[in-house]
Amino acid sequence: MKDLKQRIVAAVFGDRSGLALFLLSLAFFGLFWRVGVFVNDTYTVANAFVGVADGHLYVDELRYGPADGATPGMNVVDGYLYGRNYGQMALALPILWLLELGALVADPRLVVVGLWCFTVLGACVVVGRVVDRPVMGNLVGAVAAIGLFGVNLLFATPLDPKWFPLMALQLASMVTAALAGVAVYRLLACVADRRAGLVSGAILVVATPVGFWASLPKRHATMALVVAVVLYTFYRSREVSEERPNRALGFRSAAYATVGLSTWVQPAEALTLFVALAAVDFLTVRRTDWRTLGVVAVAFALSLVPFLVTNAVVTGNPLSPPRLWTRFTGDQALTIDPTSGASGELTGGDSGTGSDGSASTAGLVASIGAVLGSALDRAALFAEYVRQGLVASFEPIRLYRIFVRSGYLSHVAGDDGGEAVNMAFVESAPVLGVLIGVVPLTVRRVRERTNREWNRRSVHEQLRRLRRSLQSPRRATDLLAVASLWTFSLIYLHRLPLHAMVTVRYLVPLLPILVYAAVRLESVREALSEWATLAWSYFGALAIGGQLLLLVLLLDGVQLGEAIQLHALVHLAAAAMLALWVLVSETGLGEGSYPRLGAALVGVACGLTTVFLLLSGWEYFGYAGEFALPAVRTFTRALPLF
Amino acid sequence: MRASGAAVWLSVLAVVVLSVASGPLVAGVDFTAEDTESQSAPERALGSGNATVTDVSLDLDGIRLERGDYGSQTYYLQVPDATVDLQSVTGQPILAYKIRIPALGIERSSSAFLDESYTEDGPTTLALSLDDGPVEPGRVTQSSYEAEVSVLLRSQSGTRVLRQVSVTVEVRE
Repeated sequence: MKDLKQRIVAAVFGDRSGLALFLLSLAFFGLFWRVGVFVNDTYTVANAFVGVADGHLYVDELRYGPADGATPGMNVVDGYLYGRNYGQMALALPILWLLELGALVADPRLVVVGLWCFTVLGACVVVGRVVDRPVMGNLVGAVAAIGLFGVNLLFATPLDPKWFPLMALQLASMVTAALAGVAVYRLLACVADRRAGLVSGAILVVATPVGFWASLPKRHATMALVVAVVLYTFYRSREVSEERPNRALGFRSAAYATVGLSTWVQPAEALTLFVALAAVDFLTVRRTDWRTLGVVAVAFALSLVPFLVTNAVVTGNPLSPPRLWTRFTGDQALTIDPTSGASGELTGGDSGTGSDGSASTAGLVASIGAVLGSALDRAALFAEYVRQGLVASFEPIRLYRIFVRSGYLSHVAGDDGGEAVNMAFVESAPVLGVLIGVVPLTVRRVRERTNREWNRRSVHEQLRRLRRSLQSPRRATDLLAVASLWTFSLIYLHRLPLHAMVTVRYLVPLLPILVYAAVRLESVREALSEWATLAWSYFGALAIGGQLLLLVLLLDGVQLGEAIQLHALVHLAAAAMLALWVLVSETGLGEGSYPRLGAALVGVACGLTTVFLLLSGWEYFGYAGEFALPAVRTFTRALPLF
Repeated sequence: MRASGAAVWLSVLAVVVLSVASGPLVAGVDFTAEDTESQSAPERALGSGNATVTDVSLDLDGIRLERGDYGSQTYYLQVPDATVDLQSVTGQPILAYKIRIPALGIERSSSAFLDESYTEDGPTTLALSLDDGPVEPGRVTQSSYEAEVSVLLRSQSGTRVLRQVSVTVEVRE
């Protein structure tokens, strides 16, 4: 029993520290968890999940959102309504069963509060064991659990069980976001050291938009986990490849299988990751035999099965996902009327164009033709996205607006209620300022290389050296990080800046890669080992900086757009300081690399971002639903902002 | 160590017991009270009855179109609260607070749904507020705009204008 527990912890979280990070992340997300819908295509996923929980893929009850059900992402296939992101629903299904089971014996609201208190308790107990103070951990945890439960009990209101499916999706998203932090921890614990890894995992959760989107059940947190797991498994497959080839093969298959499974969530994003993974794997692998290739191919093929089967059942064509069918406008005639909730007898899953049992040869050829045809269509669509992305990546103003400073954009704000409520990428994750500092260094290094005398032999020599350096697990993973970053962002660049992004949410899955890249810098690693400075500056910025910001917001009587842009400017300032520090310490302009200064700057940038995450959840976007924790609801009502 | 372990299990037990006690298995115990603040008023005929209003005061100088700070660019139409002296209320009349800027095509209003409880303890003053809504920066081209501010009472005898004023709204950068 004990052994099993330890093996599960080791397999999923790496060690106790990973488990502590996981539990603390969940407890953090719970603080601003709102039961409700923030972006309206969540209605689609939630309504489809109501159907999935009932045992079918089509939508027959529009439990959430507008009565006509015409929400983005709702598509019509042969008179039936279908949602998208079915993979997310698969993750949420066991959580829904747990919630329903809990509600059989206990009060739904108190089930939620109780689960959160258990998370806090678990975190305290595990942290106590990690820092070798188990008694202290146990006592603090027990007191905290009772105290927090009691405080919430004072303000508890009933919770309508109709929200369970949506809540299960939200919880699944929170679990994936927390696991993304764990995956970053495990990756960087191997690449750098355990401490740096732990800090990086925590940074991903509390100081980047991953925390913002954790409790909002979009695909972004899930895809961030996918990206983090792919990097981790790929690195491990290279690290152990010499001494334990079977284990290496396992990790390599896991990397491909993770990408394959993610097609069930968002096929286009999965494809970008696959292109990067396959290319880098091929370029950097030492040798591949047929057996290895076979195992990897089988693992990848198996991981595609859920996606292909879902498509085949819905549309009759495994390569034609329902998301590419006609969008539901509310006017199309439907076989069943979803608003009624209850439906008549249905003839099961033969809604597609799939062949009947006695398929003739002609029918088989025709359906293979249809599959090939749609494969070509998909490839053409993808190529078109990539082409537009390539064009967009040479538009400096667009890139500036996406990555550095958003501000007011008339074509974006018009769809955001007329206000500038979107942040650029660095504005929403200022700790990435360290990477801005690297840009001039990289430019200089590339210049130095290109200015050298070139002849055929030196080119040859360079290539050989490059190939050899890519044999190292770290270099290979670096290349995978760069390649995924590039392919993933290509499909979105031409559509950004866009409304309802808030933190450039399309690019949220890139955050694990960028945190990895930041910690690959030696000066950053040195700074992260200054624990005391880091902790003091983080909590100082959180407490003092948070209150100062709140004071400015209150005294100035700011509007929503102003508040967001104030955060954006403060974050940009923090990012600029970090960029300067990296520039100075990596070039060796000063004496040494000033690791403590770096730690203080990282701590402040992260603390300010946490302030933004909390305030945005509590105040700016508090309208996204009723707070899951009753005490938080009472607290936010007492905060006189907006 | 063992005592602290017991404390952990005790806290778990307490949470579980309280949750189950408030749940469907135990009748008569419920720790989750209905939220009184978010409850909607019982449906009755809105705009019925009447109200006696003795004074309406408007802060006309405070009305302005002000550009948002921190690079947020948008203008916000800021309208200070109107204060209304209520003598008595019968039924469920509605007080409406409105601003119109025809040149910008802006019309904003808010409503206060009154009932007898407002004047239970004698005459009272009531603040009517309007949200500071954003105005697209491209549309604001003049340095000031003519606006019309009004407070209306909807009662059983129809809609009555309590106060209506024209005012020049300044644009502030």
